[in-house]
Amino acid sequence: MQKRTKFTISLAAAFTLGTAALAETDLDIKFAGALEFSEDGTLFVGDNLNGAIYAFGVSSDAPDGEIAPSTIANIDTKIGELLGVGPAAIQINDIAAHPVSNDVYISVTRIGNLVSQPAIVVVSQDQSIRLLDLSALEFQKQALNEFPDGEITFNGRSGGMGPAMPRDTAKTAVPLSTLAIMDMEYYEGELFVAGVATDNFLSSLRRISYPFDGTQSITNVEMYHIAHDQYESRAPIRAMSIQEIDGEPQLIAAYTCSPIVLVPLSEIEDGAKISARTIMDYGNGQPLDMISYNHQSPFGGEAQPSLFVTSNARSPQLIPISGLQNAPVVTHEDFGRGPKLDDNPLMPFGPVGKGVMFEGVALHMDLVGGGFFVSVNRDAYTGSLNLDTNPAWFPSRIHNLLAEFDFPQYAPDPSRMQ
Amino acid sequence: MSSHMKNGIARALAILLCSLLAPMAKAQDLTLPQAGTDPVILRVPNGTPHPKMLEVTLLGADTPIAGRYEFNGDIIRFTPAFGFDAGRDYVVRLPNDNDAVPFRISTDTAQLAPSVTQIYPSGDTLPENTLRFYIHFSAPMQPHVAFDYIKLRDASGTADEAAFMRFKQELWNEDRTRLTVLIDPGRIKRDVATNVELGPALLAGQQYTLVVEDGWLTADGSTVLPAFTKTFQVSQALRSRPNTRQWSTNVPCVGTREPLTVAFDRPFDRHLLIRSLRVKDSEGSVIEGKIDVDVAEHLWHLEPDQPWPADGLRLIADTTLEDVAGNNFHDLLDHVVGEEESGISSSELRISTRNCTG
Repeated sequence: MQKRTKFTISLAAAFTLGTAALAETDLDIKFAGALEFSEDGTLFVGDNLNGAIYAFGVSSDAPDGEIAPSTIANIDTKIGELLGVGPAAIQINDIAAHPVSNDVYISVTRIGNLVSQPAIVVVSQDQSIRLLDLSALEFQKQALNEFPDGEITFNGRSGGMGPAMPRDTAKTAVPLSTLAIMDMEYYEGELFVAGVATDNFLSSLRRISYPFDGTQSITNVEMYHIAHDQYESRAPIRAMSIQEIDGEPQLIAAYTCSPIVLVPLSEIEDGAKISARTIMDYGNGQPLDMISYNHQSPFGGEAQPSLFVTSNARSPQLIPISGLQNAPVVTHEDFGRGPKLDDNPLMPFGPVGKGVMFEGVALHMDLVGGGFFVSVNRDAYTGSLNLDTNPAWFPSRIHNLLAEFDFPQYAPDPSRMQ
Repeated sequence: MSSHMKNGIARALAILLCSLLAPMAKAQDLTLPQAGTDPVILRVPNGTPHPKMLEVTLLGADTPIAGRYEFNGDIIRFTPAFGFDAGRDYVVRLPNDNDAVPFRISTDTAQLAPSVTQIYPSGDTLPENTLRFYIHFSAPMQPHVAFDYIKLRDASGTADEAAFMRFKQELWNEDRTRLTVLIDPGRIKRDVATNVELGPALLAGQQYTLVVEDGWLTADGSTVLPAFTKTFQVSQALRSRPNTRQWSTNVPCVGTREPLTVAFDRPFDRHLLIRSLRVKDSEGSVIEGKIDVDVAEHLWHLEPDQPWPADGLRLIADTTLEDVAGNNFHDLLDHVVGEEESGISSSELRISTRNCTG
């Protein structure tokens, strides 16, 4: 069994990790990408270079300070300083909030002079920042089968009329394997992994039991894409969540440009090629994160189980889960043929909920402590990269807004108030 | 109590606390690293060693560098998680010493000046629509600054600042000794915005020099690359797909390991050539051997590990093999609207052998 000094794990984590399947090798992680926590604080890290998922025991017994709205400006510079390089040499790959301690874990690539190395940086609620010593942690490794070889790269194309411009051809240097582990969802002792696999399983869902015992299944997923008006089986699921829908656990998955589909977990079987059920398309763009939480308006009403779906190209979408129950499933036969841009009268389609305010772009987001969203976001004006924590009912920064409330003369007129 | 007095007391307390924390640690008690893997060592003559007594930052940074602290008697050792990089400026902060102590790692290995070892395409004459250059260096180079040094100059010496495509990330190989540089495809593709606005980066009949200017630091920051130039003439654009029917080969002797040489009608991408051409026997098995490319990427050689069989040999090109202008067997990088070619051009070639005995 892997035994390391300097790290005392709780009994629960020791039980979880102390199985026969524990990796006997040294930690060989090459890339820290997608992150996911189990309820008790096992941290899953997707490695798109090694084609593996690592599970680290980082259990915690108590919250690590009170959660309050906060900002760390220029988080990339700060992480760079911690890792001994400038901000240009820092690439932030994902974030995840610890379910118990509420610490924010950030997966990073440190681009060194000779090699790029993975790092996981932890920001506590007191805003202190530290490097997670991965070598001191108990871990398990699960290598993924059908993993892309890293040689095949994307095609370049232009977005509109005319040939591809230089900005479009940059994709041709990006290997398919960079999308191999897009999102991970831990659910009742299993890890669901969306991403790109090889050959006939390009858009795939992997199902891996945890603690890792070597068993894994892989399923190819096809879905009808409303905006593109085609069936897609290559582009992977970008973000996902598992919820009880129509009486059974179903995977809710968001794709680029941006259909949302359902896949009953019972259909995710090894070797199967399955058709997901398209129920909505909230408009063009690339989904980034899908967060499941209880949305509570500060102005009253009952808390609503909801999904908060961020995008690189549009406002986050607040989707009540109630709308997904008994949602009609659509295929190409339900629409006139042809691609549909956002201005098409049919768009957005389905129980899409509402687009909500978020200034700048939330490149990575997670729920922290049930009532807050933490995000790595890029300021719309300065371009600075910031780590913000804000209430989930209003997660946006407002520092760039100059509204009625901000005037020194502002005083509400009592005679016009209800 | 007045706020002035309060401040005074607070300051006195802070000074007392600081002096308790790090009673005597001073620059003379510090041992600086000589190599990237060395620790920073501080002797604390009086008091209990604590990580706060020894913080190392990048020059000008606030957040201390992460790493491992070890304590042994009155000694604190700090080893950074990712090592110290030669050529980077660091500062040791000692809590009771106002002077931060700067340091820099120099490399103790013998220093050979780095050099550009090769630029591909290697020919003296390149087509107007040449897409890709590979620049090979003898040592890993510092990233993110390539285009401060790499210039395309015309015969009068004027640099074309828009010649190259600027990716957010530079296209390095893993050990950062080979950089791929693309001529901006917008300059190559006819009637595209930058092509119309600025014209092609390379014009047939003209002479250009690809310059790597003096001053580029190696990755470890220890040595500086001297200037390097490659001057070439520009010929007409390559506007047809590669086709194996336009290639020729020698006829190797059966039963010998005489190299097979394939001559192309045009220069091909050096690195794609190495992996995109294979010779197979009548059974479809790949003939293993030593592959070589020369004469400005116009010739490809295969010296087989085993003697040549009698017949049934075929040369097979991967249809994604590109010539130096980015044209492959499927498509041209740039074709006139409405003249898209269909299908795949011929990508196989029969290799004849001869009987040379007696």
